Amino acid sequence: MKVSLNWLREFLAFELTAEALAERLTMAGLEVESIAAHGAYEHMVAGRIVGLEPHPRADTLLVCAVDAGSKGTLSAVSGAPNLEAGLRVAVALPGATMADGTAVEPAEIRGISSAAVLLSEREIGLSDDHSGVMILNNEATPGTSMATILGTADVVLEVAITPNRGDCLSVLGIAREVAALTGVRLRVPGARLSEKAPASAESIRVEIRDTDVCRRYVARVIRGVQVGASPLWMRSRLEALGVRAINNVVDVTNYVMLERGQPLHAFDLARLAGGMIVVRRAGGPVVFRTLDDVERELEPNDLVIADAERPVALAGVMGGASSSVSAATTDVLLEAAYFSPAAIRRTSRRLGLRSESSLRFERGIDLDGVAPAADRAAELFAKVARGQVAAGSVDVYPNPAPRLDVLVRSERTNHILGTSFPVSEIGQLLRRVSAAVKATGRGGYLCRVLSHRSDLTREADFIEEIARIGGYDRIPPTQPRAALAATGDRRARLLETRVRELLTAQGLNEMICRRFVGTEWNRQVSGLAPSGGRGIALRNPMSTDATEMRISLLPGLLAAAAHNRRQGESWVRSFEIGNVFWTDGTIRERKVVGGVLLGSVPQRGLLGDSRPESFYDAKGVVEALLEGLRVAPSRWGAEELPPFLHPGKAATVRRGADVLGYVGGLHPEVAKAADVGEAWAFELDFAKLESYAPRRFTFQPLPKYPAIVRDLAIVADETFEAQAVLETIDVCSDLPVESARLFDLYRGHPLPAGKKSLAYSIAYREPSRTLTDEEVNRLHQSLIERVTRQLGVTLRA
Amino acid sequence: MRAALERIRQAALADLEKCESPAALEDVRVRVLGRKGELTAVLRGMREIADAERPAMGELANTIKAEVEERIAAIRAQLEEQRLTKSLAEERIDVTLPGVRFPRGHLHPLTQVLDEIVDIFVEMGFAVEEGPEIEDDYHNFEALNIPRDHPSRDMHDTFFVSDDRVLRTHTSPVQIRVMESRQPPLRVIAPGAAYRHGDDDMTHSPVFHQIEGFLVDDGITFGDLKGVLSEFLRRFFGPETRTRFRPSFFPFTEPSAEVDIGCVMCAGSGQQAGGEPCRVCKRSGWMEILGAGMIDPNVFGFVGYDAEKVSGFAFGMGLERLTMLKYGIGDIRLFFDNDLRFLRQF
Repeated sequence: MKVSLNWLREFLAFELTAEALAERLTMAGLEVESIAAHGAYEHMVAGRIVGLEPHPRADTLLVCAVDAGSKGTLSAVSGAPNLEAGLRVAVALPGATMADGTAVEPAEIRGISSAAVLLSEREIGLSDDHSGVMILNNEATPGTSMATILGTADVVLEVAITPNRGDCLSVLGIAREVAALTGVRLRVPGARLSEKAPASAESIRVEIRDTDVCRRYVARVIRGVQVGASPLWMRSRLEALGVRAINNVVDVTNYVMLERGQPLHAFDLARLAGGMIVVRRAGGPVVFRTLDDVERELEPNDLVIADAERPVALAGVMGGASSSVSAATTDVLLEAAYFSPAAIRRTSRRLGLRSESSLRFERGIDLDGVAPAADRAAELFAKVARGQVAAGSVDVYPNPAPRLDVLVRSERTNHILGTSFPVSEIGQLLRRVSAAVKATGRGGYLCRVLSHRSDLTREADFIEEIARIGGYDRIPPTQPRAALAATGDRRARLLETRVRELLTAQGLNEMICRRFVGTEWNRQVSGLAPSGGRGIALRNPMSTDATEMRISLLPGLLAAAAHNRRQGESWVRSFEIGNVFWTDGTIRERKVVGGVLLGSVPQRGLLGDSRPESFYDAKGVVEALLEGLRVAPSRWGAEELPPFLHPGKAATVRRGADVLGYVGGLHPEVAKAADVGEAWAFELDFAKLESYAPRRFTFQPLPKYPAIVRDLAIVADETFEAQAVLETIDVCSDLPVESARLFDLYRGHPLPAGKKSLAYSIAYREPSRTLTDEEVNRLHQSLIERVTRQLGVTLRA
Repeated sequence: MRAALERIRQAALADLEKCESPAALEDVRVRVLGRKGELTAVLRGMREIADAERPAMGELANTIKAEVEERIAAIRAQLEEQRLTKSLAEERIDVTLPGVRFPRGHLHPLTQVLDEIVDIFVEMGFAVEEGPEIEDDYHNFEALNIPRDHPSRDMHDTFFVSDDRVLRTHTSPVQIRVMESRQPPLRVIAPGAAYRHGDDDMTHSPVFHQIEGFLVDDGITFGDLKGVLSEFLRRFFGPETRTRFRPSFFPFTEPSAEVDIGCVMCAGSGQQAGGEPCRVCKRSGWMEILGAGMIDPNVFGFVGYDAEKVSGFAFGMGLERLTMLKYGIGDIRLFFDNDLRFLRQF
């Protein structure tokens, strides 16, 4: 909401500078976003044409000598058709900026120097009139600034109005607020009307069919208006507040809306059938042409203003084209009404049609201000459009708003604010924002709510007003006295931190991706969603490649990888911890940790070569992560692999039968679609990691007796899985095997083709004594027999 | 015999002085003191001298042996020292070659700043909670005193999943979820992602992160709100940080406040070094950092708390904004581009 200080001064005589006023408003919750000089028209002055000659080289141009008083006599080349010697005109001197942003500077026009520019109203920024130079009256002294001549020098504040303060969407509203803040008295002059018969009521009947959504309707008739341009002062005011002048009738409705916050509508009385105004629901699907000449489809519940035959306005939102005021209009029906905020909001949002009018109705206007605003408009119609104001108004207000009184307790006020405001001061502050205040004893005050403050209905609302008007800086900061409450379970968060440490330690960079993906990606990359799980679609996506919530972390990580490759990165290791979403009828979301590895691992310092990332790099990252969390996976297997993975180079990660996630190469088609080349990925269910990570672990005492190590080398088929040997050893619980690990994989001579050799190192240890060599030999022999017999492999010679 | 011994001694000491390697020393030692050495040979001839002289000769021989051995040890040490000095002078590696290491990964700057914020609040006794990102209308709006068809919904441009399900527009619904399931005293912060439909530019992202916080107990005041948040801002931005509490409006708090700090770019002066208006604070000298307020009695009504018995405050702040201020980042989109050249700076 913009507000002009000159306009504000019509309601109260405050002493503050613009800056001080802005500060005061800001610190009371009406944030002033900018302070701008308006109507200063710098370097624009009145001038008198003292010489006028044809341009020697252009038929359509004239060369003028302009007396600009103290600025001297300047030459100006102009093509305006209305120039005459002796006329007083608006002149821009060098340094001025015209309304379209053009800077005025001395120039040469076809060989004749031109220092100044003679201005049209459009060039000054007063109207759209560009038919000729703006002619000033004969009293305009040459050299006088245009701001003085127009009386426009003003300061305009732009104030951000929060949704609860619809009452401040007007000059009067802000004036009331300034009065409450400063204690300066507010003067609201009553309208001075000279009314003439016949009365409004003889020309119009008003019927409200739905008094819940239209609580009040005031109609006034103004006859014999002369539609034309508004006077300069009105146009200038409108322009200062960012509203374009149209004609005097429309301008008056806008002027009063800006001044009083009451939206108004002017109908051409002659175009209303049957002398009737009916406020009703549209009743059925109706096509209605609004005055911006757009056809709108109304729904049965939309509130309309109708005449005896058809809708003539979309109530509170916009008038209709058929009944709008035109140059031929002589009699005007002025509407000032109160429409319910929710009804106006529904209609205007559905139609995507937000107007200055709907904005104010949505925020709630002053029921008591409806009739005064109609009177004020009538007064201005008489003044600027020579209208004859018909006697009286038609005011349909079937259920006047009950007066509301709210009890405010001083003790409660201080208890909530942490203040020790005296009871008397609380009373004084309440009086600033109440219609009346009555002390009820024991520090209580009964506050009568002002009709324009529909936001004040409860004690809490008034306590806020006390803090706001009193000033937040008067509330001393304190530390809460509170029990040392248990701070809850931070385990999930600590675990997340641990996961981040483990992954960054292995060179993975953390990424945070937007959670939106295209439908196609969700279909391709199902992540950990159970089969049958579908992506969750947004009803109102912002772009066609962001239509669903991600079902997996992969699309985001792959897009980032592709971006980084395009930037010349040859190696990408990345991870993200975040939620993924799917639906199987029920909307579900869960936290997942996922990562991507691709490109070539750089050489370490100058040692060794760089090499491509492999499955085993990705698996190693996952192994280290699980080990760091003390979650032992029981099996890596190719069963139930999701289809976006390479069927031969990927594994599910299980603990028992429970799938924690997957690790492996992307299916070549998926990698191609993502434009990343060969890539390795993993995703693990965070909640499962959390549930399997032990809450505590116990330290193992260091062994007192030595371990004895024996090697086991087997020859097996190429398809044999190395894990099988370890699983077999695992179940040999009768043997004192401390650990077993694979240390060599060999293919080639002298092994036959299709065979490979795997070598394991097995450590035996008894906690209570030293094993003898003979014992270990016996134990190892027993183990060899079990492994070879159970797995059908042979011992390597 | 004495003369022979003396000759051996003289010759041995002279030869030792000429030795330039441990091997040469060893040669002299073997020649003089070895089993077949000169001194041994002389001592073997002791039988031929008079009994009376024998002890004196023996003593002399032992003295010479000790003297030669001592000299050998001294020269050996000297040679060793020379060798070490020489080799230290010769053994040189290029210490400017790169170290051998595996490149470390980097934490996202939003994570780093969030960790810092969470740590500060945990030190102040707050617990950390999370909630779903796809919320129902009740938790995201209704229970936060934002009814349907109310203009305050204009402050929340919303992504819809269905009539009743939305991408949460703020992390405030976690307030409701925690209060529904627990009783005061509560000190909770709830960090997480939030979504707003609308601008996608240098300062707006449809996905962003918020940190919601609230404290509920009996006797919690607006003064406590000021105290706790000022303390947080001083710990995060530095002990000299000036704070300003300014009335504002949020449907779920009353009184509500915007909390400003002195502009970190222009030190609160409103001007850049050249006298130009500061672009960060738009000349005001203040920057909006977080929104806060006393929890509205209606909200307590929705979760079944008695507003006459308990009171509390809530606050919320944008993680991206704080991170941008902390590191001087001008474009919010950098956080979600995940460009490694950006991430590796943190």
